[in-house]
Amino acid sequence: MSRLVFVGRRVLQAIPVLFGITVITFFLIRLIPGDPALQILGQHYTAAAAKQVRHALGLDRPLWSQYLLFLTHLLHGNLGESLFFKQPARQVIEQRLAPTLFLVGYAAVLAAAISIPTGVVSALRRGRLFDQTARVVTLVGFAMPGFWLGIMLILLFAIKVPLFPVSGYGAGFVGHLDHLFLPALTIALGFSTIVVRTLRASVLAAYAADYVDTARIKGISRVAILLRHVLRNAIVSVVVVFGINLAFLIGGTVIIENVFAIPGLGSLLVDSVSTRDYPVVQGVTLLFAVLVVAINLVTDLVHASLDPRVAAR
Amino acid sequence: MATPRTSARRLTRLAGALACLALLGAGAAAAATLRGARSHANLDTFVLANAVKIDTLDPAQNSVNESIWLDQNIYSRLLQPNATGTKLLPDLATSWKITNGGKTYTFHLRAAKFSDGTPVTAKDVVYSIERAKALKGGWGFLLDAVKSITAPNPRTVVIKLSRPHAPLLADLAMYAYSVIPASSKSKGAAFFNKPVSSGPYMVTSLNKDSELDLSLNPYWYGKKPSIKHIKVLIVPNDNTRVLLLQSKKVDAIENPPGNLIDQINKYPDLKADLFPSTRVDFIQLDEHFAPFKDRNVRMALNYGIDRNAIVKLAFSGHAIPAGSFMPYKMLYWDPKLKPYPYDLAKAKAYLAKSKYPHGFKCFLIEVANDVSGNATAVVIKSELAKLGISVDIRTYELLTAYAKEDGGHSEMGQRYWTNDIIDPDEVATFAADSNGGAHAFNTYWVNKKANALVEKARGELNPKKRQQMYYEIQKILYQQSPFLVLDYSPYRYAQGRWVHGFHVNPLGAYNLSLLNMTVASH
Amino acid sequence: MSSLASPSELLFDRLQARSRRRGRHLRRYGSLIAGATILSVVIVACLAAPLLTHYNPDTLDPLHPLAGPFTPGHLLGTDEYGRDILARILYGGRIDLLIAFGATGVTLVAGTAIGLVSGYFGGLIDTIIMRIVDLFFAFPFFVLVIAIVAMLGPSIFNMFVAIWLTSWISYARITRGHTTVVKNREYVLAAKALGYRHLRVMLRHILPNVVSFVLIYAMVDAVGNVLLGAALGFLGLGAKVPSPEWGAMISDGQNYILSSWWLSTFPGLAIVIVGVGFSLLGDGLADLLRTGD
Repeated sequence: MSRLVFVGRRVLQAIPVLFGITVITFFLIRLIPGDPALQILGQHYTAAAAKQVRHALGLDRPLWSQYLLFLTHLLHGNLGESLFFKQPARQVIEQRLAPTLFLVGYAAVLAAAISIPTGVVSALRRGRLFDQTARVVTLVGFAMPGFWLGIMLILLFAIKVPLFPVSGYGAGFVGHLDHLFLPALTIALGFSTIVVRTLRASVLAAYAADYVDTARIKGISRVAILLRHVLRNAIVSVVVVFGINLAFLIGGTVIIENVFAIPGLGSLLVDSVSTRDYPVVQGVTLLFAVLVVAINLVTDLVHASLDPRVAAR
Repeated sequence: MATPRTSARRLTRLAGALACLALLGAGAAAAATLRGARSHANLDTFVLANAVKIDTLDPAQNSVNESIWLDQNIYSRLLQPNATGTKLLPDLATSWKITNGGKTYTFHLRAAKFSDGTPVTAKDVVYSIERAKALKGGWGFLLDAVKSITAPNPRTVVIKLSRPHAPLLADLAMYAYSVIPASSKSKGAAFFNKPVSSGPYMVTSLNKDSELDLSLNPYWYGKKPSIKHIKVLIVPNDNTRVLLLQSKKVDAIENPPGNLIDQINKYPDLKADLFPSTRVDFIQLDEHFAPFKDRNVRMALNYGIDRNAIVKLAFSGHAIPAGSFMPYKMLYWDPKLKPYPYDLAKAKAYLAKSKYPHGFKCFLIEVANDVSGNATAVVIKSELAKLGISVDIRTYELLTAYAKEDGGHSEMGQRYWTNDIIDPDEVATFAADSNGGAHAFNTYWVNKKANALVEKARGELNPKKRQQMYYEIQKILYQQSPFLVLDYSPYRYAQGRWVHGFHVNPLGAYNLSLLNMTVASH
Repeated sequence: MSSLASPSELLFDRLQARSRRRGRHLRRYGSLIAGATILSVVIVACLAAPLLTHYNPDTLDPLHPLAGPFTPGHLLGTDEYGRDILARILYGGRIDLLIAFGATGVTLVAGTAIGLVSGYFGGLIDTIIMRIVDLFFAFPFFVLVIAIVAMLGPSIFNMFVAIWLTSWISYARITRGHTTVVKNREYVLAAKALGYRHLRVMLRHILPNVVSFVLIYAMVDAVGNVLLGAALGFLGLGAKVPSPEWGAMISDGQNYILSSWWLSTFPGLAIVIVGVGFSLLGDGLADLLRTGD
């Protein structure tokens, strides 16, 4: 019963955050220097057309009224009209959502596959060669630009040794797995550099816990201790660390999509800067933030299901 | 607190997750092997990788070259240019008669059918031409002299002119006047997502951002080509395109980077082509920006830019410095106009005579991801700095850049021109005639003499007299330089040696070659 | 150590302990020294660029484009315009280092100040500020920065503005967290009881105990800002053409990766070196903190 209450409470807590996101996104367009109408109309600028554009954008109303208009539109799923594609921004964005979600999920899975064993083994073999090597690799990896790593991976595994496609999204589920492997790997490697150290620390902390000593004294085998106590608590920290850093994961897709020419939200965002398509920029930013909130919510719920103490608080 | 049973459940969950991982890994491996198997190509399919997204398949509205060239596989016109871009061949019209002092043209149509089986009638031709002509901001001005277009019977089209118009046949061969069914009117813009085609190929699937699939039009009038399917992949990234070709996933690619031409040729299976083109690279100078109104400034720019450096650095040597604004070796091109040489002293002298002896600041609009264009911009910026002219480079996506360059609020803009017809009227109208619909390449330069000459040349049916007029027009533009003519660059393509017969004509079209091409297994 | 040991044994033990302490010192300070050394070398090299290379980063050389590394006269080769790559890396480093220090510096000061105020005063101010902080955290950082740059227009200055507007939140959160703990310590309560003004208490009593955590994070943030600046340069949203900013160089070099790998590789290595420098510095500070001041 308390679990349900917890879930309900968390969902309710997300709502003001979502509202706040709309406020910040609303203010984004107001950052445009000069007259937005000039930017939007470009070569077709006339005083009369500008007045129309300003009225359509609601720029001639007081600020709070503009925000209400913005919010109302949002609640109806109206993200404005794309200046470049001449379609509703929502349509443009919807078409690009799937590749990004696939990429994020794929990257998360690969990151888990890389960082969990590395973190655990580093902790178990603390101070030894594996740990030291992992530490150096993590150090260098953290300082490495993701786009550079992506380019190097393309050079090595798509050009010199043609194992994977150079770019694109591919067709069909298997095609997506194939085309997105290198980009997902690039994001996963970057992500792992952050996560491995925390994982290592939490495995070490789990080992140091009293009940582990108790278990050892009771004669339970080391493997059983590893699996039952240490890993279980480590997984909790994995979930938490992943959740916290997921914003990084999502941000990473923007530049990786650009390097690997993946038709997702990230490359849409960058393209829209080049075309000064402000409504799309706004819409994509909003969507990314909503994704982060959703992922954080899911993370919290998974965390609670793995560690009942969380819900009981 | 967790009991041993619940922790066992959690462990099974973990095991499940790891199993999924293993499956994913297996999936990726399977994909790799499948890909290996898939790359064994069919002999009736031609795969081409283009660099630029498709803007539309509506021939009246196209402004992007790559889309224009694609249109020409889908639609037929009354006539078409030949493979060398020097003559006109019959297409939907098998023959034509010119009477009444050049003011009446009568076309006889062949018995052709659209891809849906309906016959191509004179009514469809009339509809298509009138539609394109009527489009605001479109190519209608080319057919300004056309008084009426009628279909006295289903196989005859009669065009009456108000005055003699030398380029008429060349105009009608243009992509904009492609023939679409008159019945398409009711479907509006949606028609062009899967158009009914009058040409050799029809659209089976279209995604403007990523791929266009074409298949043979079962009703097309010509001999059945060996290529039954065409896949056009949109791959904006230069490296990816080259790699796709190297790994044989595509048969030909557009625009391989200039610096890779030699490298590609070194591959035993590949070759790079530099097809002679009608492309002219130039820099727009918007006269709304005061310094560019001054001829002395424009001359300073001409002498202050080293065209040889541009050819070397932006095109890896695969281009020719340009003198005349008209495309290289096209009809009535004047070979006597030599490119302005790089002469810093002369440039400074001209600048000193102008109102801006110490230079000025301006911006240059360039197109994102256009490697040779971007390189040209860097070279220009570096060279003009020596004159005290500080150039700020602004990069925009292609269509956005063009919009910003054309609106009359620009300064310097990077642009190129390619002919859509084999007659000089088009380029002269665009470049020299301030009333020609493009404000003289959007420089807003006005020269009454040039305007008059362009109009006169349009109606002059005597080839010798016409040539004289175009020579004069070229001389005026050379001396006044409302825009800076930089170089003539060829169309760069690369293809596998397993492809035989792929050829691009100077207008950029390859549709004719597709009909005679073969693709061997590879 | 037995109390029954001989004096010479005691002396030996004490000497051993001292050398062990020095060993520990070395280990403790190792990262700090390494990081500081790397950064100093990079900073000096970039500032002293005119002394280290006679090439101008912008001079075109049409006769020697795409020369490989170890070509006579060009240690790291040249790019597609014949510009010397080593020169461009040294001069470009000024821009990236400026981003590292300039962006980080401002957000550090601003964020710390906000966090101090929030944690110290608590109550409504704290709630409001922390809610705002939480809000910003909901946005993927990179996406928000790009959106702001999109609105303001791509340029280095606008990139700074975008970072300033978004990066302060981490400092605010860290500072506020530690402030709420420290403000209940005896010396702070004593200071307040003595009637010191708020500002004095915050700056003299709380800040010194919080600043080490902030500085450690600042090192991490510096790496992040260099990578961010490079990423924006890579996307063409930061440094303007033909600036030798490292990210822009990598982006430029992408077009030539099939024929001339060194255009993208060396600037990437430069970024990694600077990043490693900051990371080691941060690790060193963290070690220092952990084993006691």
